Amino acid sequence: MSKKTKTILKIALFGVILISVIAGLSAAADPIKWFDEGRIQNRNARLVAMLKEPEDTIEVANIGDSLSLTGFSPMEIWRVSGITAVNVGADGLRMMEAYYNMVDTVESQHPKVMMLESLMLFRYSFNNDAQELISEPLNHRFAFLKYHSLWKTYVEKLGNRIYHKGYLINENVAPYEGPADYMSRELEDGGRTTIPEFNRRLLEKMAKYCRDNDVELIIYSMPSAKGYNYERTNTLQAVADEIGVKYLDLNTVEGLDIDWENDTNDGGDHINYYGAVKTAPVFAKYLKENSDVTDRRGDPAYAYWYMELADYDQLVIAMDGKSFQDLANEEKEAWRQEMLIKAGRKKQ
Amino acid sequence: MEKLLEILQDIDDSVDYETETKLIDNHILDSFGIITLVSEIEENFDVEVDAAEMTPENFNSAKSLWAMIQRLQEN
Amino acid sequence: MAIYTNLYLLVFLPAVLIIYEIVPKRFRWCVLLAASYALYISFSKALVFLLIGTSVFTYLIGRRMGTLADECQAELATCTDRKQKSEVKKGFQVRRRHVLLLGVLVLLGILFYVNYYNFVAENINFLLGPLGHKLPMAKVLFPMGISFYTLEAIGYMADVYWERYPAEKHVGKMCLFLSFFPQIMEGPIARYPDTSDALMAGEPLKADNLSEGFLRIIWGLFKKMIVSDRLSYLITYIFGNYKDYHGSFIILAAVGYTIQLYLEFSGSIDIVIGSGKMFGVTIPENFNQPFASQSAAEFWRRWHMSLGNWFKNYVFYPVTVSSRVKNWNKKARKKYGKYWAMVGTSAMSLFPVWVATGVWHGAGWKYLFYGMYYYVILLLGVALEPLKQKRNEYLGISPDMWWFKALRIFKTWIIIFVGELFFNAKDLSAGFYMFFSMFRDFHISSLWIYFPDAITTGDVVAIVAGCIVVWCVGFAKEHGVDVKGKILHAATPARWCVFYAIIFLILIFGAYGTGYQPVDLIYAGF
Repeated sequence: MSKKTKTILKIALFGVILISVIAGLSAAADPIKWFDEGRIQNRNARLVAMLKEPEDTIEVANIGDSLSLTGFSPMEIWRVSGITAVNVGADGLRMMEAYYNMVDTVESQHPKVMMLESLMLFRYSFNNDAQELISEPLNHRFAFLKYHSLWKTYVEKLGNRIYHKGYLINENVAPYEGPADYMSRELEDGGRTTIPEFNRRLLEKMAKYCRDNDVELIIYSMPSAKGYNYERTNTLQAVADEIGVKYLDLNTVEGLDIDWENDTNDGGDHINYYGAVKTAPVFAKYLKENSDVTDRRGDPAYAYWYMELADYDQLVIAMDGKSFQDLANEEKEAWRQEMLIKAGRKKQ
Repeated sequence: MEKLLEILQDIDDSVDYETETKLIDNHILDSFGIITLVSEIEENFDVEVDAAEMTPENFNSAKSLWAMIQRLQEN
Repeated sequence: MAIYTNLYLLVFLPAVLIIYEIVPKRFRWCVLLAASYALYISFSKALVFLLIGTSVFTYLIGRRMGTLADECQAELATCTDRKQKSEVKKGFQVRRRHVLLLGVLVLLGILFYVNYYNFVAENINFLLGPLGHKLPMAKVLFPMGISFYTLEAIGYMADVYWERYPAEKHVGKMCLFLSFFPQIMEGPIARYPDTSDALMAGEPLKADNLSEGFLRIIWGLFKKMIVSDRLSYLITYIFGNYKDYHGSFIILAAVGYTIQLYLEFSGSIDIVIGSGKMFGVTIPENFNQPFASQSAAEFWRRWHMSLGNWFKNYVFYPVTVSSRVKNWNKKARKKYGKYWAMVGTSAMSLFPVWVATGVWHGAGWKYLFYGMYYYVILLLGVALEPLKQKRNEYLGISPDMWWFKALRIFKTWIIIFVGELFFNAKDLSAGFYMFFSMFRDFHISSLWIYFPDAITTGDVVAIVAGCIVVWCVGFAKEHGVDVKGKILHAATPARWCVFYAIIFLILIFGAYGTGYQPVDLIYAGF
């Protein structure tokens, strides 16, 4: 055997051993079997919560960035329609991650409808997306890599609050102060009005994946005075038509009256809890008209949804006009005062 | 050569200059030592050390320093 | 595509290695050059033409000086008497100097425009504001690595001028030297003979080199991903909200930033040197256990060594032996004695070095301050040397005593920490604000009571553990243990175990993952 062949064989053997060990650890690190949500880092917490739902009980999966997490409340939708929906997104979601979230959801829950919030279609940077083109398939294939930060939960307490099917309750109110007809204005950040080729191709891939698995893919735009305008929604409509999927724009949809004084928590970017209460019937109506979702109210197998709804309603009252961040800050401040007294820097 | 060794001893007397060949590479002569060394050499041997000569090869040992001085004296 | 990204490590580098290996030997340098420009385009797009232009320009300047030297030799051969010879020599020397001057001024001009134009315009506008005339601000695109390759190019020109080596005759070699892809982002600043021959040689890949390069790369990732990237959030947060923090937090920020910077910079240099090694190219080292230094001067011989060497070779020595400084030195020796002449000469020679070191890092008063800070400290070090020796004699201290060494190392640390505090502050006034608030309302307990949410307990554990590992390796190296050699010469199973251990520590404890934004290299911004 020549020296060169020997070297190549050695490198190959090194790689094979490495990949086998990672694969073995990944098989052992089954997130559903071994870990509760409290142990999962924020990023994947909603995904794991979805995986832990009883199999094939979810009919609608909502994937998107923070716009979709604060504006789409599965519990409200259940209340008005009996549709079983979950949020599977994360802050600042990008297309590669969204695609694999979709695959995980379909494999576990076989939903009838996949809702995709559209803002991420405009989000692109070569550096990030080229990275994720490599890392996301690896994360998807190897749970060991995806959940590598689990060790942290053994040395610290994670402040996750992922329940109520992944909805993020935020009762803060910070009015929007821009022009009322925000849809006809130019975007302040000069945001893209064309969809980058990379995202467009991934969208086509998603559409094909959904078709192959008998899932209805619906692109939608959450109401956002800062995030959308006509140029964007027109572009989205055109792309949806070309690819052959449905598109729902909640900025222009009839029957939805977002009050930009009261229904946003950050001056017009995200809608808050009060806005989400208004979007729920719109989503429910659209889903009923455009897909064959089932009304599970009254089905004893789904009675636990009512229990969670009661819990949700209680929390909505308890939060008393605040956000989770506010609550965490208050808790931290109380702890600080206590510690200051302990350290002798403050009198009781 | 003896004069040169004397100058070197003056700068740092803890070094055996007859055998040391890495004065610069091992940072035995620091930048300030070099300033002194250059002015002493110029004064004692009546030569001009210019920027082109400021290389580790020239300053690494007493022997190479001596070679440089002789070369400069010839010109 | 930065060198710490998985795109570079898992795709780009292996692909270049494979293509390099299968291409015939004499075309291998073309593979490296194409790869270098491809990487450059991914950062700076069309500005690659500036890099190419700089390379060709440097090559032409070198060639012109080379032909002038040849002509000079030819003419000298025809001369007979000594006087005539020296006149011919002088004539050519002047012409060569003009060529060098042209080269240096053009390259510095570009560097100046890119880095400092807006800063200078801003300050001029501020001064002349009342007169109503305003210089326009320029929208300058930053060409990646310009501060590094410009110094390499100037170093080459100067060396050719001083006839340390002949001018390069192959323009492609010059292009490759200035653009070699691992080095382009943040150095090390190489001298032409360091890497150029190995880059052109096209030697086949060797198992030993691959193994060594691989070890170096994963070690660099270990430093960056486990410690530096986790620290980065905390440091950015405190420096960004510096008015909310005081006392122990400022010390934490200064120490933390120094650790972050060192492990990130030296870690990415490990990746650079490791990448070069895989192709059989030995890129010069940039760090040598800087935190074992016993003085600020020693620190600068161990920290960012390629920059320090560059300034020593191309600024410090030329200034020291320039006729003006030498004349002053001669007079001063007679007038004030050797000691004061030495101090004065040092003051004159060090000044341009430290102004340049300061502003090389960027436009801004804080960088100038950073340079002047070390200027004063180093000069004090020289001036106080006799006093220190007397003190040691009086107290019976030998510099070899362990506690004296430890004390000096600790003193050097404080100098470094304060320097880096100013270096990373938002601006000079923020630097002073932070410096003085260090002494305000000092409570150790603030460290945990007001610890920002920017990093968690888990991060702290990883950072501390990572630092301990890095410290142990550095300690062993400092005491003459060849850690790298021991690993590389171990039997294959043992060596692989070390490789796997490092890889799995990175995979488990490293900061990476979806939604995680890899932290940009600090020095790539200079």
